[in-house]
Amino acid sequence: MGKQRTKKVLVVGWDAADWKVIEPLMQQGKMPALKKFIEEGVYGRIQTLDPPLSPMLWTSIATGFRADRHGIGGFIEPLPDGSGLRPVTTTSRKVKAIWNILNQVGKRSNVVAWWPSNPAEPINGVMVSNLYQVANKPLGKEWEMPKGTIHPESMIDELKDLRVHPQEISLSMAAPFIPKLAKEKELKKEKRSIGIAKVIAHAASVHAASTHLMEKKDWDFMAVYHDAIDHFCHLTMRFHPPRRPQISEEDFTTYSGVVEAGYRFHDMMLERTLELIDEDTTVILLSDHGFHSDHQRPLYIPNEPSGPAVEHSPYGIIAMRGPGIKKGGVEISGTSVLDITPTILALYGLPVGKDMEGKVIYQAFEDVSPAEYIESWEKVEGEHGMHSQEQQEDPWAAQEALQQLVELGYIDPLDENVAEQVAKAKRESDYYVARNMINGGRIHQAVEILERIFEESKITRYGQRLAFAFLELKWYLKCQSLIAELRILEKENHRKTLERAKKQKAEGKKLLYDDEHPIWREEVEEPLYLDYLEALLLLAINQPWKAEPILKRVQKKNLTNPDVSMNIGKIFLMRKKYAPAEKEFIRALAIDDRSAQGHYCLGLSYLRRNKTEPALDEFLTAIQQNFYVPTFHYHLGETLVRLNDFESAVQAFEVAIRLTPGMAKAHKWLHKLYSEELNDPKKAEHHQRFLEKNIRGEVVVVTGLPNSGATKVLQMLQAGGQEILVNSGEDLNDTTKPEQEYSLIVKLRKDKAAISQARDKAMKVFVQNIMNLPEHYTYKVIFVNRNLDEIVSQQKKIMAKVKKNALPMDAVYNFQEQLNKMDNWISANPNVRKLNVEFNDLLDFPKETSEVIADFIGKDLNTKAMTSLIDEK
Amino acid sequence: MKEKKEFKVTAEGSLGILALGAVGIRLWRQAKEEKEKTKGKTKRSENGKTKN
Repeated sequence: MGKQRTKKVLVVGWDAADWKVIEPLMQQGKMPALKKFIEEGVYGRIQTLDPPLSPMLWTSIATGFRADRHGIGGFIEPLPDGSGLRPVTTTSRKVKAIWNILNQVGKRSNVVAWWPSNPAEPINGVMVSNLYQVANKPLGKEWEMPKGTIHPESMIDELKDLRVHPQEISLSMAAPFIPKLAKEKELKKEKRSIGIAKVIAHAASVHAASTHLMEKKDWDFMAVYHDAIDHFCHLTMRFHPPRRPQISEEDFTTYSGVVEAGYRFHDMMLERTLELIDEDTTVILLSDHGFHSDHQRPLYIPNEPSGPAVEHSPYGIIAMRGPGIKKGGVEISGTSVLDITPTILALYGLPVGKDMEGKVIYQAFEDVSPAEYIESWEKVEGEHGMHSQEQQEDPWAAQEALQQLVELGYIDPLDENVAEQVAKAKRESDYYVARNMINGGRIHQAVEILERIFEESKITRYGQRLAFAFLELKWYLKCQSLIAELRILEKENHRKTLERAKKQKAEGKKLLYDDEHPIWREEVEEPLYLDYLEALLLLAINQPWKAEPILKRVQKKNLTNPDVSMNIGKIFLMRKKYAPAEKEFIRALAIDDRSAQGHYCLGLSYLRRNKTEPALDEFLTAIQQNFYVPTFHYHLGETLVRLNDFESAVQAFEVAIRLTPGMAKAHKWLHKLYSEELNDPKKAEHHQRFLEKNIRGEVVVVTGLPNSGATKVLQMLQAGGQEILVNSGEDLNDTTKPEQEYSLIVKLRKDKAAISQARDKAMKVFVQNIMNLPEHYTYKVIFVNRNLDEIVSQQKKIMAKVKKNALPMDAVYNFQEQLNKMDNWISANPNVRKLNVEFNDLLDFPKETSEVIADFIGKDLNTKAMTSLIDEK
Repeated sequence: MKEKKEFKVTAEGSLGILALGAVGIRLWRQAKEEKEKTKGKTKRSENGKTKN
């Protein structure tokens, strides 16, 4: 057993809750229960997963796994016999949820309305499924509970009368949400207000069931899930203040208070919930994702499955309080929805599954003794209270819930052609799972899925994700050709949609698009993601000067994507243009002021301009947002050195080393500070010894096929101030002789230690010999690529002149084979980094290419001198 | 000691009563039933008056 920190845990789920809405409400005293709650514990942002779809996320929260492992792939799933669709069920979950694990260790759990939790699982305790609150009959008619809603069935009678029917919601209950309509007694007049009443009723039903169980039943673990904030937001966030020009005054007046009222209602429910727990209970309150409430609110919801998820933001909320948890409103950072199950296990002192994808949130704990681990809870035998694989539920019982998903716009209405609909739904689910896999770094497997579903359907959303995945895998050629295909498909899709819309308009049918919608433009511009993708591709292949204008074009049209400004800023950073870099990072932070990377990059721009005080602020903010990035601490250290605060600098470098053991530059600083500033020779020696013993030398290797231009790059490096190695008697300027590689590379076949001669220097090596480099060193390889025809023609010229010693033509034609071998060697060696340089770029864009090379080498090379070497020629 | 709050529970109900959870729902249902009963009595007595 690990250290037990608590006896009981209560998890309260608020779907889509977001600090951006909560913080001002707390400041105004409108959410007193939550304010008090976080002041007594810890709080912070929690990162969602992609795609931010609630059934997948809440299952990740309850299991510690992503969708490809837990098995819940979206909102709906096909019926086992393929005859239709149904909302996702617990029978599809492939792994144990936290309550199943707790079941195995003899703990009692109550679970209310978790998504999905139908059919209710036979656990030791009570499970009230997510169909409990859904009214399937008008008020006054017998409102039966679908089979499987409650376990054990003996609880049905005492729970069924606690449900609130939407038609029971009175004017005084709705008044805080829609005071104008309540005053005018028009609550049931239009669809939106009926929707609001329904959401209030659902929340009240779930809260009534959970408070009943808290009062009447013994429990060790309790989990209650509310979807109401998400639903209030989808219904009315567009009317939330501030009013945007496209929202009418009347709608704004009527619905601008719904979101606020929804949060305040949850605060009231939280207050009651907290009254019902004892002091042995640790409470975790969280959401699965956030919800855009400001200028990032989308103007249009894409007309596609799960389109409304575009309103979700990537950060939700987490707050914890009670035994085992730090007190005093401590902010925590870097948490993920995957961390909840491991953290609950650690709170109980139970081992965490090594196969779980999340981590224990130790920063929330008072006592950080490490948790114990087991290989996997899946292998642990014993009664877990899951359904048997064979068990199926009555699909028709779920139809009302399915209809609600249609109403919310999450899924399309069912087609007559059910088989096609099921196939479409399956593909869509595969798409979500593939995105989830990409999010977890399982990109190769995701690509297999995406290639298949894109090929089957030619749906551009699938192609878009596939192109980003190709980019991630560095499959640049595939990415490039897919971008070209997507450009054609997007144009074709636009043409078809426009024709359809025109036809519907002519027939006087109700249209999905208002007059301002871009669909009405005859010549629609290509979607921005294609330009963005292309820019990222250009960045990846080291052509930032081509990426920059495209990114700026994207930035002009899309003001809500901070990554665009971040990428432009990084290009400026690389080019040492710190003032414009600063502007871009400020622009990115104006969109997402909690981006750790944004604060870090801004700090770096300040630091490079000697604005040390503001740099300090930015690095500290970045660390507050995400403590676990070693470079944040390293640059904080550098800043503190400039401020002559050597003791704090030492602390920062020490943290950087703890996070990345062996970070040479931090050891160098520590050696310097202990010996020169802090008079601690013992510690200085420790770091010196460490550097001598563990840090490998670094060698710059310039490579390419003979006559590809590698010599030119070597000369540029020399002009920039980099020390280079050349054979005695070799004249780098003589282009009439066959190109040579540095002779050391041959010697290395027999004497690996000879590499020390090349430490911190640059040398030229032919592609086919690069594998001779000993693996205990670190290499930066600059690969110079040149058109094969040009290489052959150059080779012919030289052969004609010298008649001998030139590279045989076969070797030239074996270029691809050699290149593959080199790439395999590089990918197998983590201590090797490679930069591709196109020879033609070197000639056409010498300044820009010099900047890229200098950035890659990481030294302060003289790029002007490097550029002039090419210009002179 | 937790501070005791007093609620006036009407048949119309309120968000506050819903936020009380199970206890609130029961009290609200009770208030509605009582109102129904009172309504019935009034009607009966009104009917009686008419008869008389």
